[in-house]
Amino acid sequence: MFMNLPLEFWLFAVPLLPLVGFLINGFFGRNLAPQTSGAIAASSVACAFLIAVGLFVGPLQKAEIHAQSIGWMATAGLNINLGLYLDELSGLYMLIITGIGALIHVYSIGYMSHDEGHWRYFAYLNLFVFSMLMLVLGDSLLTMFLGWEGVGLCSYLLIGFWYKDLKNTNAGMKAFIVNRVGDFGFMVGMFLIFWHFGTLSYAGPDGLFMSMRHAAAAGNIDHSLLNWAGLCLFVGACGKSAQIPLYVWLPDAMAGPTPVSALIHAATMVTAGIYMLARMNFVYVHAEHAMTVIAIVGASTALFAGTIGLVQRDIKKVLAYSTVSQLGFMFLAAGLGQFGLAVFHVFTHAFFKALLFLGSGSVIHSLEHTLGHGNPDSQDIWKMGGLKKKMPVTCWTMFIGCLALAGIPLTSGFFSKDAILFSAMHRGDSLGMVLYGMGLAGALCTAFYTFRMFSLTFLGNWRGNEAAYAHADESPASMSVPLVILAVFALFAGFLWLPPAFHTLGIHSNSLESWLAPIWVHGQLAMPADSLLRIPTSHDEAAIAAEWMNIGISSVVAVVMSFFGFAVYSKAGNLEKVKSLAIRDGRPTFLYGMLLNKYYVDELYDLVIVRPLKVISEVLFLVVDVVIIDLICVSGSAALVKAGSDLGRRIQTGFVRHYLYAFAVGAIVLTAVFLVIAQRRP
Amino acid sequence: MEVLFLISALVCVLGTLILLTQRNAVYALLGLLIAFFGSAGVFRALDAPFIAVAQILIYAGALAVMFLFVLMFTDTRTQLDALGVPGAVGARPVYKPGQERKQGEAALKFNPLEHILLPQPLAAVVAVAFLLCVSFAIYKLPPSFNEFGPLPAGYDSLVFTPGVEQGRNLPYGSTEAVSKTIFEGFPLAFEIVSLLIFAAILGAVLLARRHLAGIPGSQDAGREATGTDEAH
Amino acid sequence: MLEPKTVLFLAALLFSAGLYGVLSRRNMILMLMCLELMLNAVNIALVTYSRHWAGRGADVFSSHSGQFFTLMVMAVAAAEVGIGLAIIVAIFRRKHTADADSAAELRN
Repeated sequence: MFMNLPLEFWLFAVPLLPLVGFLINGFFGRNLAPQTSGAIAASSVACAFLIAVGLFVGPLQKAEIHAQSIGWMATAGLNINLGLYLDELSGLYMLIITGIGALIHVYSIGYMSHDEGHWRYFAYLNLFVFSMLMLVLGDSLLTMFLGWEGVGLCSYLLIGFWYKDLKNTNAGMKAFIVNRVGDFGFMVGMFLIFWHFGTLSYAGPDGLFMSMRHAAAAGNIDHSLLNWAGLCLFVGACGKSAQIPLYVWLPDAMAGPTPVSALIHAATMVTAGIYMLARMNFVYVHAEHAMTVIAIVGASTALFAGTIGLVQRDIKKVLAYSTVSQLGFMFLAAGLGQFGLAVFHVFTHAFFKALLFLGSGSVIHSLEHTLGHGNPDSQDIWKMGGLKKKMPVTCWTMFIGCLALAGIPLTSGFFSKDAILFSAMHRGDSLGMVLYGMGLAGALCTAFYTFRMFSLTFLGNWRGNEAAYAHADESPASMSVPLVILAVFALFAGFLWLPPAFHTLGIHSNSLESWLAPIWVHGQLAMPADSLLRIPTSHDEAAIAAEWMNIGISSVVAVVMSFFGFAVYSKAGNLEKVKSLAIRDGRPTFLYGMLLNKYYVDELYDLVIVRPLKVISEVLFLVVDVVIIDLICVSGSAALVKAGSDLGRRIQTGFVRHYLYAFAVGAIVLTAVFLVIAQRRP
Repeated sequence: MEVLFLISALVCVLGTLILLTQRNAVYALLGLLIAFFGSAGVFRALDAPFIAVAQILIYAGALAVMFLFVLMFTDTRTQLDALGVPGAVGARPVYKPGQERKQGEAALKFNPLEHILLPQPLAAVVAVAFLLCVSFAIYKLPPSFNEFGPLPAGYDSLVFTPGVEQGRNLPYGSTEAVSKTIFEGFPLAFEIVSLLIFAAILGAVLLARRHLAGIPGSQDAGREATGTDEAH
Repeated sequence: MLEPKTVLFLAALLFSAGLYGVLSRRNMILMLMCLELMLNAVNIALVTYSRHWAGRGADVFSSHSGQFFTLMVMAVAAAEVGIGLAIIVAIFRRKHTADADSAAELRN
């Protein structure tokens, strides 16, 4: 019976199911048991995932689905339908979001079982998934912007979820405000796109795809405008995907519950920027300067965040900076024109980063039992150690996640990161080599701090509260089963897109590459043949050799640095030496201090932006708010109205006769006026 | 026709004079009744016999009786109108500044505006001004209004009447011509008016009902006020 | 000779007389009576126009619409008097007078 429903119905069901879950939990969740509200939320996303899988393996293999539905706004020249568009790219994203989102929901049932705000939490989580699905599935830039703002709102709500602590609400506000800066760029970019193409929808004969092809065929592409549009959209992506200089909110976003961090970092939110770049690839391939900026920003972020990650003590902060760093890799790939690799890295990163966050959440959850909720010691890796014996499942799954993040050969992270590094090397100009160097250095840091974190947490001896260690225990099944599932994918997801070098070994597995290929067609068609942004289609022997070399270098770097981090931090004796290296005479050394304080970027922002803003706000408050608005506009107009009505109400005598007089005199005057006009008329 | 019109117009004016000058409300109502009959004569003089009959039925019959009924229903004192004369029976005493009078439950304060607008002279001024305005407008009407044209022989009837030849057999102002206008020309307005009257019936019943549970002033307040009235 | 202008003047006269009555009377029932007089004056004007257009060769609807609206006015006036008198009765129960000036609660 359900099979007869049109595809559009099923496509709309995917985002609407989480919305329904949000409505149920939002309106009635207060009276539900934690397990019930969690089950509603998780099942809504799980159903969405099942439908998504059905759409993906069935109709999407034949053609993309465009479900146009409701007219949203219609003005002269701009008609926006609130429609959904499912193609290869949005289909992949839809799977990631709903699949990993469902796992995180299941995990949250265990994680939030003792929290009184569980219903609020699950409602926000569902809304988050809904917004992200709207972002991805929307058939126009404006619908994407709707979801874009939606995830911003939800991240604000979830980061500040434990709102009783001022620190958390401040972190939420920081995320929101920084995202607003990016959103401004996104809007300007959107306006420019509309100005150039006259539409915001992707598909259809008048959509952006076809407009771009027509413009390219007619040869009237405005490269300068597309560069500006691309840059503005990239500012938006910077905010959402935490790139320099707008990355500052992401590490602070750790204030929210850990599964939220997993959701933000793996399945939703931060990958939105990459999605937008990949979606607008036909614009970016004609915006070479913008692409250069993107590549440089991406590589810098990868290196920059990687170095900060080296010294973080908070387990979630380590992971947060690793996310920023990995996002830098994705932007590097996009900036090189290899959007497919960026999406591939999003895909693999989603698994291992979700795994790592959920694993760290498992650790924090078990320690918080004894240490109490919100105790910073429950997240300090220097006060952990030896948890392997207590939490074997968490330990081994985390180990797999660390392997993938560090880029150990044959794990998923290895394939995606390696391919990005190779495309930088293969670019063939000096900029490419610089980017390659920066990326390699970032990968080097990544491998080191990943195993530093792992060793400090699970190996060696316990260095914290004894009682906490005694009571630490493996997490319930609802939390550990998602870990195992994610671990499997973190290991093997990379095999969907093996580098061309492997083809020489007779292993042909590039289904993801060929799956995504139709997406890039619109952009690649009109590009000059010598463009640096062209996606390579064939590989000569020199390229294969260079690729083998790159694989070798990356593998050696990853393995050596991982082993180094492992060796240094797993032995108790080494820790004192490391400390003495970092801290001399009770004061941190210059380098350590720089890293520990994140290069003082927050302080710089505070000095350059926040403080002047505060002074200006203070002045404006005193002059504009207090005097002009409050005193003159508000109180003044109120006083004026009061005085006027004091006068006017005296006319109201209440005697019927007086009203009748007014009525009669009015009638006479009207008649007289009418007569005069009639007399004047010839 | 002219004779009928002149007599009717005189009757009308006479009735109006009675209505305006009589202090006793019942006499004034009699004046109104006379004026209604006079205007019925005017209608007849204008070749509108159906309207004339309706005028007598509705105005002179139903409305006048209703007025009379309400006059009886209220106090005898209210049948006299003060015509603004201070100290007359039933008139509100003219009170001086600072002086307050208890009336019903509301204490009314002195309001100078009440005395600025003297009732009768001002009303006369306004009415005469209006009459002058409208008379001027009538005077300025185009010459075609100088005389009534000849009545047409008749209008087409849609209803077939045995023995009557079709066509040109409905005289102006006849009941059939008027009903043809109502039911073929303006049926919707006719139906809406029936709704309006229905609503008016319900409203009148609701407003005039003595026992209104929970509404102040309907039952209890009325009884209370009656008590104070008797104490006077 | 019966002139339309004469009849219209009679209507205007009756209307002004009614206006004077409404303005000068303070008894609400009498005010309502004068109001009826004004409506009656309007009716006379309407019938006059009806007769006027009938004499100018209008068709059956146009020449009778004045009479039709007279009937409408009568019906509306009947409804109005019904409601008005009910209000007066209600006010009389409360105030024990039909003086229009006594119902001045809407002042200021």
